[in-house]
Amino acid sequence: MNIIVCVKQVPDTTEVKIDPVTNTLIRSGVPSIVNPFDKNAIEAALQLKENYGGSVKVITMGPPQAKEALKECLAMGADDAILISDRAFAGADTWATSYTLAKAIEHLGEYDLILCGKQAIDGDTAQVGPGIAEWLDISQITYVQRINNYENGLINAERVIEGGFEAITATTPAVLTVEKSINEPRYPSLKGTRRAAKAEIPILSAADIQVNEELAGLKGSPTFVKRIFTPELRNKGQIFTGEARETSKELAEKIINLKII
Amino acid sequence: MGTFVKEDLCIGCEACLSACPFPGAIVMDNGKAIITDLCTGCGACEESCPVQAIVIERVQDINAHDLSKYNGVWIFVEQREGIAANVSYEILSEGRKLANELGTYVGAVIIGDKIEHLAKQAFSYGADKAFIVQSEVLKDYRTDSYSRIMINLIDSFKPEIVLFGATNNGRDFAARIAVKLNTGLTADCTGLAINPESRLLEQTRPAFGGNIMATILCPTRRPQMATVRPNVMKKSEADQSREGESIHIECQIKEEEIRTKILEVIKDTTITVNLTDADIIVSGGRGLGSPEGFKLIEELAGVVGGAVGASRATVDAGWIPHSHQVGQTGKTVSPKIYIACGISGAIQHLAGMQSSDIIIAINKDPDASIFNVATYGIVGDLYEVLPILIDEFKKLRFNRSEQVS
Amino acid sequence: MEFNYTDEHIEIRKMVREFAQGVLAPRAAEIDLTNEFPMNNVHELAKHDLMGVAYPDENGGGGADPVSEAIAVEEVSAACLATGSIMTAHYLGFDALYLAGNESQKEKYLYPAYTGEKLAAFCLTEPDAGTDMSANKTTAVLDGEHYVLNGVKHFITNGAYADFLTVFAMTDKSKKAKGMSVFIVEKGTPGMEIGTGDDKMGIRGARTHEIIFKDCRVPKENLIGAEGEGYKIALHVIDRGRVGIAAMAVGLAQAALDSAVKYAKEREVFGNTISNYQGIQWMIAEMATDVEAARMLTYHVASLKESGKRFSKEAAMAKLFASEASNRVVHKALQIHGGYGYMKEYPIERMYRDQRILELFEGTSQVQKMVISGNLLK
Repeated sequence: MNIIVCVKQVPDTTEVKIDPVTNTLIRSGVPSIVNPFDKNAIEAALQLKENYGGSVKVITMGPPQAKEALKECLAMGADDAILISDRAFAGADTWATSYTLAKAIEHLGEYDLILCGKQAIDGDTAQVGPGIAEWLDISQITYVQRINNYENGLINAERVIEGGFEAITATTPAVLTVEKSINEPRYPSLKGTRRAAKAEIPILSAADIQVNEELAGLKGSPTFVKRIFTPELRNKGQIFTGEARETSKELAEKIINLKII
Repeated sequence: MGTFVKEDLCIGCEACLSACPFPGAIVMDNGKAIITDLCTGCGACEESCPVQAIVIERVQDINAHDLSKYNGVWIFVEQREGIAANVSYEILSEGRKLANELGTYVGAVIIGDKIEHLAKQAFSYGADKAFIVQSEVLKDYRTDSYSRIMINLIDSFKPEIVLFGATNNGRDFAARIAVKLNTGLTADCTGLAINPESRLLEQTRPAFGGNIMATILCPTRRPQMATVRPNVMKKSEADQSREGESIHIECQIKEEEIRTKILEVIKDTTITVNLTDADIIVSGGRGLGSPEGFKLIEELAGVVGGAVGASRATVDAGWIPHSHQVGQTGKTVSPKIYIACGISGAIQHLAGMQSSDIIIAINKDPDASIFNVATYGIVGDLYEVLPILIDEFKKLRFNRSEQVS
Repeated sequence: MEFNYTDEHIEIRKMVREFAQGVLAPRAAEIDLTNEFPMNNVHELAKHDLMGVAYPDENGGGGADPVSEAIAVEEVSAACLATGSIMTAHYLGFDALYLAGNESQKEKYLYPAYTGEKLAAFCLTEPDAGTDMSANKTTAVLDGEHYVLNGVKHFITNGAYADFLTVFAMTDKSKKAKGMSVFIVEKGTPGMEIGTGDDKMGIRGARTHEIIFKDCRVPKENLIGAEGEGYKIALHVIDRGRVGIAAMAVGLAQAALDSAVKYAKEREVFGNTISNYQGIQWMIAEMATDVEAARMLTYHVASLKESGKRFSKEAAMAKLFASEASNRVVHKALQIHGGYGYMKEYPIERMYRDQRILELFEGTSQVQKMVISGNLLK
């Protein structure tokens, strides 16, 4: 089973803080990490490989620094990692990103499955996975919480929906986007880390993957960000301090008076 | 499109640097501004430059659509077993407002099997037209069938705006539709507005883990498409007397063309109280100290008839399943009362519950940021406070049942 | 000499830290409480190639250098000193084979130890022979194709769980040190009994047991090296092992320092965090200096491992300095935590107890001083 995993290097949004004075984002010192959901995708791919054989290839579209993210994937056990990088890709929205990744996947050739995390924590759009599937005109299962099996060219998985889940089969090749609950990503091993440290990561440019530059990057993006601002916080409410018994009763009274309970 | 600095004109005043909303998109080098790859061409710097040294070159979009051909605000009415998702009515209500501003109609797209009755519902929430596609093949939502139908409908009727609920199904096929139709899609919007001058849809959404909000435009392609977060838009009062036009479209799709099969739909019993629908949510955070703390949270939730929520830290620690998580990577909720126990109020958590009507915070740390958004708060040990609250609410219930009997 | 981290050192530290903090640290308190041997952690160490870090990769080892191994021990120990102790005891348990084993012994025991498929233990200490190894009473007598072992060992880390033990016994008591030999004894060999386990103050998960040999027949081919070479091998193994103890001390001290820094920045008294007070600031500075000095000395000695030369004096210095430095560091770290530091709620309480062993095992501080001065005064 040949699997391609699409990953994204993202700023660790849990480490992002707002400057209380200027009310703007402090981005310096925020570490870059592999999108956490993508690690679940890699783990799922590695487990599939353990069960069905084949190979796990990891790709990412990003600046040269994104090599670090790919090295982490190699350390976890991926067989190959390829960086898709070109100035022409800068400023891409999800439309242009899915186009570029789909072109890269076509360039890489044979595959049975494409795995992605369900979304990236910096954008939270969940749009690139399905976008790739549309460009490649293949089936998809999103929000996968479990992969049951792979038989006769069909992938059988559980897809989370509001209030439950569906057991689905899809023809392959297919795009699967995975939930955090699907697995616990492994930590890299020492040998994997040493191998990754020495690995040369090949870079594919727009020309290499025959991307039409009119459709890539900022140029090819139908949407653009007009404005960015920090959300307003509410005004301070009424805070009780003091002896727990009294304050708790006071609070209970307030809540009861709301006549909601 | 690109942003350029005329070096000879730049006086190094750094006005652009302060105006730029994207840290790192402009850097200063040798007293001159330099535009980096992070630039999105938003134009804030162009307006701020006192010496007109910055020029935004807007290249003609060679894939632009003929905007004049498009009109109407469409809403995808998501249904399961003939029952529409709440979010569909929320966005119908919102779509109505947008259509009024644009002076156009609201179309509801209803796809499924035996779902005609939903047209009446859609009209009552503001739809003027209902586009109905019915077939046994369409009984369950599936990516292939639903996206093909939606693509064909949009192609034929050319709405200028299409809105979807940001549910797992809505997000599943909207991205495919956008790719196929060569148009933009904005995910998970929490605010929608029409710019009166440009008539463009201003789509506002949280980004960067909820730390910032971004307003996104799709100027040259149509339709302008967005998925909208459940529980953010207010549902209007249903007007049962409103009527509209039902347009039936034949389903051309055959079962064998659909690449996925649903073997079974399993209702997950572990999610007993649906967080997103709850009027009252009691949430626990790291301040509980241990997984056992959730017993107290559950008890309080039980007494007030609420659902149990959790912060990311507790879910990450394995104290409670992910389905309870509220926040950026969990669920967005807006209950009438949100009780945060031992939750510090990380921005990611606030992103998921800030729109609650009443927020009650219980935390040991008087400086916890949860108090910044709290309507009422207690600075104290939740293990002292919660048992007293539980007692008080129990008494209340007891008194009520006395009155009834 | 100038010590520089290679990129690989940095990558390995990051990898081991992520693993140790993610997998080992959350279990540390429970292991301490239950006094149970964390076999799970052993499997996890194996899965992440940490059971033979600096041994040849063609034989299943990690293929990294000894400094990387010290870094790995350090990071594991920072998360859970008991697991660090199990790890170093394993290295100590197979090192005699690495130094003096023949190819068939290596194939059968050493290479599987590198991968963690087999767990090893070092079986030397006796109730009446700790510091003075030559006072060993366990005997091994050749009888046909077997050596027959009799005697009692104690405080044997991993002893009750190891797949094989390297056991030191007297083949000729009259020759004293030169009459000592070393054998491989497989788990379950008839005549080898697991005695009582110890109830320790710290590193409680690193279970130690009494091991009793009663007419225990060990195949002749399990003799490592030649008869009479045991003492020499033991000294060499112990020198190399002391680097591991020093690395454990560095890891523990760093963890204690980190927790003190974090606490000092959070804890407020008189309207200021305690980090604003010079009394605390100076303690932090002293702790950090101790940690860094211990670390550099440890890495220096680790790098000597590669030279192949003996480094008894240097290893003793690293062990002595790092273990005593870790004592000073945990003492101050607990002090900074105030009364909370005395409570089990905070990990510093466990670290404080765990630390004490570092100045006792693999030679007390006094033995290290004997070794050092002995080298200088001979």
